[in-house]
Formats: sequence, structure tokens, C-alpha cells
Amino acid sequence: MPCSSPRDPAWPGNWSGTSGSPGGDAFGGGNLVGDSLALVRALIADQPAAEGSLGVTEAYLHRLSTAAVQCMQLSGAAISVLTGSGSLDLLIASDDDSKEIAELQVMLGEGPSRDAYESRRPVLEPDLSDSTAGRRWPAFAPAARALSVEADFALPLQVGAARLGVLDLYRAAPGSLSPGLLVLALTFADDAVATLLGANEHLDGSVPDGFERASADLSTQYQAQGMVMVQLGVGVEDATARLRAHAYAVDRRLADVADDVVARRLRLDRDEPQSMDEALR
Amino acid sequence: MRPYDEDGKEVPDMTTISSERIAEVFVEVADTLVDDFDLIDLLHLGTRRAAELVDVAAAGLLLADHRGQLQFMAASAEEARLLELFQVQNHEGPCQDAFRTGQAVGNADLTEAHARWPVFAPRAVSAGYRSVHAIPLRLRTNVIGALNLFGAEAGDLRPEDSRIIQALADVSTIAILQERTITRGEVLTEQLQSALNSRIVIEQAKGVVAQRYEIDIHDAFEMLRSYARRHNQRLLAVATAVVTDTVDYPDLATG
Repeated sequence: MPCSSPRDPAWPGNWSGTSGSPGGDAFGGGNLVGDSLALVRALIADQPAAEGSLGVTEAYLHRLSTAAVQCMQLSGAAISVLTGSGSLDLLIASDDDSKEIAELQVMLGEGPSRDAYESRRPVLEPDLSDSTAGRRWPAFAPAARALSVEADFALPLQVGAARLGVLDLYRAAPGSLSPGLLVLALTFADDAVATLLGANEHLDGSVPDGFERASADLSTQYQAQGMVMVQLGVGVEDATARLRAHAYAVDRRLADVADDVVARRLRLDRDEPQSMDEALR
Repeated sequence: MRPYDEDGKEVPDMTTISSERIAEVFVEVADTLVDDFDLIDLLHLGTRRAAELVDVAAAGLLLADHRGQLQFMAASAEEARLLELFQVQNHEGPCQDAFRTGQAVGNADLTEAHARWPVFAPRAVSAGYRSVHAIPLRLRTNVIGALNLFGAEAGDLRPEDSRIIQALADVSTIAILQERTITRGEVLTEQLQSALNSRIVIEQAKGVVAQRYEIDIHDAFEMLRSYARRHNQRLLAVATAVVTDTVDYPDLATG
């Protein structure tokens, strides 16, 4: 099973560990990109379809959460997203307990996912019984432990200033994530971001690529997001979605559309499709 | 092709670097490493001083993300042709080699490096560069990225220059990690994640500023930077406000 790879010391993700292997020379450097994302996508593809009537995005994210749980030996996972009113809200959870814990964070207004969202960086809490964790989250830490969660790893889902939500990974056993598992966790978060932005070609098999292509000029794509914000008078999250929807609607690569925007050959106007859902119709 | 000094200081003759000048640069960089310093601004300064000290045309810094992909963080000049040369190094090039092997990469003449870097070398030559160097950014056994120098003329760095550049690379690494005693891999990853995301915010802000003031995307960086300087604010804070606050954003032109 590909799942066993992250525990292998030679696994690509372990470059950032203490294995003494600089820059990942043992694994061919640049090839890492394909490896961890391909692994994560394969794990998600192996998951059974979610029960109930979820939308395409939610259904994929549910499978993403169950894949993360299965291969990282977690007790659960949850994805919270930013709502229109500016608060974090639970979108999907791998199981009922995780749903309860994620909702607790929202209700109590404290916890790793809120901190990850606000600080815009990962909050990795290996031991909720620790006194530091208890002081930091006096209500959440004991409540999570009552539901048998001893470690909580919260990863912001974001692209620069565009904050989409948080991926929460819950584990029953305390302890840090190994470097390999941390890379895997961050890659699950990458795939969740791509999905929330409507950029995940796995969902419908036809969205123009550009998200994970190593050769794409990512700087240009971020600059184009900023330019479209002003052109349309929208926030960065919407601008990002509009760029993707435009690329899809005119059947071009996102990287090329971004190039044209930055070179001022293309200006988006308000009549463009506003989201992938609209572009797909 | 000598780098200009945007602070208006006279750029001294670089055929020999005075020890006073080296001391000055390190004091300047160390002065920036105060509490709550601005990482992007510091790395920008570091790359400019690196280029200036050893008299190369340009310098840039790349960091590896969690998937081992090299991402652009800072450069002595935010020119398109230069940024493209950093981007292409996700496939091949001296930074890719330095990152993968953990060893510094020197190149005497880019016009003879087509066999080694069939895509990167011709692009670098057509951008006007003749030599390239890459120095790994290391924290103990980990390599987190590389510092890249481009020269307008062929030739290797002198040994004393290499030592200065290595020292600047080390200071940059300390700044990026913000902690001299990182022992847990996850803290390293947290810091890198945060640094890389900061750079994305800067790019988004450049786009907003370029569109809002109808200026070139590369001038937008200078506009952001000079506003931050005038108001004694962190570059990242200004950039974040520009991108997230669509109502109450800072007026960079008159403010």
C-alpha cells in the first residue's frame, strides 16, 4: 500500500527530517512534487464514495478526509471553511466525533483550527494534555480529550492572503507527526485548497491544469489574482475563483490567462462566470 | 552591470572589498534581525548586498516548499527576466543542483553550460548573464533552499568572496527560521510554510497595486516597499492590508 511509504525513512518527505540527507538527493529532487501529490490523489481515489447527498466538492473533500485518517493513523479529520459572514464553519468531517470536535471549536471560539486560521500558519499540537495546550485552549483541550483526541494538527487552507479554511487532523495518540507524515498532511491540505478553488481536475476530469505544474509561473498567477481583485472590485478569494472560471470557460490554461492579465492583454469584466459551478453549467 | 543602490548610497568600487564595508553590511543585516522584523524586506536587503559585495549583476533566494519545490523568495531586483530564471530552476539549474546535493555550485561560463542545463543556460545567457553561482541554505543536515548569483561576466567567485556569500546565506537561513535552536523538523516546516505564504501575499499585493495605480508590476514592489519604509511598517503588513482590506486600504501614492 502506498500508505506505508511515509513511514519509510527513504520516503521523499523525509528530506526535512534529521535523516542527514540534504535536499532529498536520494530521491531525485524535483520529482518530489509529483510524488506526494500523486500519492495523496491515489489514496483519495481509493476511498469509497461518501454516503448521503453531498455536492461534488464536499463529496471529494469527505473522501480526502477519510483517506487522511486511514493512512496517517488518525482518529478523525475535519475541514472548516470561511463563511460569507466571515466566520469559520464546519464543511465536512470524517465521522461524528470529529464533527463534534470541529463544531466545538467553532462554538467555543478557541482551538488549534481557529489559531491556524488567524495566524495563517500550521498549528501542530502533539499533546492536548500538556499544560501549555491547557492554558492556550482552556475549554477546548479538555473537551477534545473527553472525545479521545490527544493531538490536533491544524493546517490553514490558504493561498497568500486568500484564506479559505482549515484542515484539522485529530489523533488519539499523543506525539508529533513524523517529517514524512507532516509532508503528507501538508499535501492533503494542498489538494483541499485546489478543490475549494475549483482547480482540482480530478473532480470532473476537464478543468485546465496549472495548479501543480512545476513549470507554471506561479508568481504571475498570484499577481493576476491581485489585478483581477481591482478590475472586478472583489476580494482575493473571489478573484482567484473568477480567474479559474474564466480559464475554464475559454478552455485555456490558467497560467496563460494569468500571463495575459499581467501583460494587460486581458481584463476580466463583471459578466464573466463567477465560479467554477457557473462555468460548468 | 553594477547593481544600483536604491537607498542613494554611492556604490563603491568592488574590485576589492574593504573589511569596513563587509562589517557595515553585516551590522546592517544584524540590525534588521530585531524582534518582529520583516522577513521579505530582510531577504531583499540580503540579496542586494550579496550582489553588491561580490560585484555580480543580480542575486536571488529560493526556498523549498514541503514538496521539495523551489519557490522564489527575494531578489536584488524584481525584473521579469530574472524571476523567470528562478522559476525555471524547478526543473534544472544551479539552485536545483545546490538544493539536491547540498553543495555550492559554481560556473565559470554559462555559454559553455548547455550540456549541463539545456533549458536554464541559454535562457540565462539571453537574459544577459555569463556566470552563475548557487549556495545552499543549510540548517545542519537540512537544505532549505539556495542563494543564487548571476554575473554579467564569466568567472568564478574568489575564495574570499565565497566566504562572504556563505556568511550572508547563513544569516538569511537564521532569519528565515527565526530560531537558532530549531530541533524539531515540524517547527522548520511551520516557518518555511509561513515564509513561502508571505511571498505569495507580496505577489498578490503587487497585482493590486499595479492595477490600482496603473503601473508596471515590477514598479509595484518598490511602491509597496517605499510606503512601508516611510511609515515604518513591515512590508508584509502593508501587503496584507492592500490585499485583504478592499475598503480601508493604505493609499500608497499619496500616503
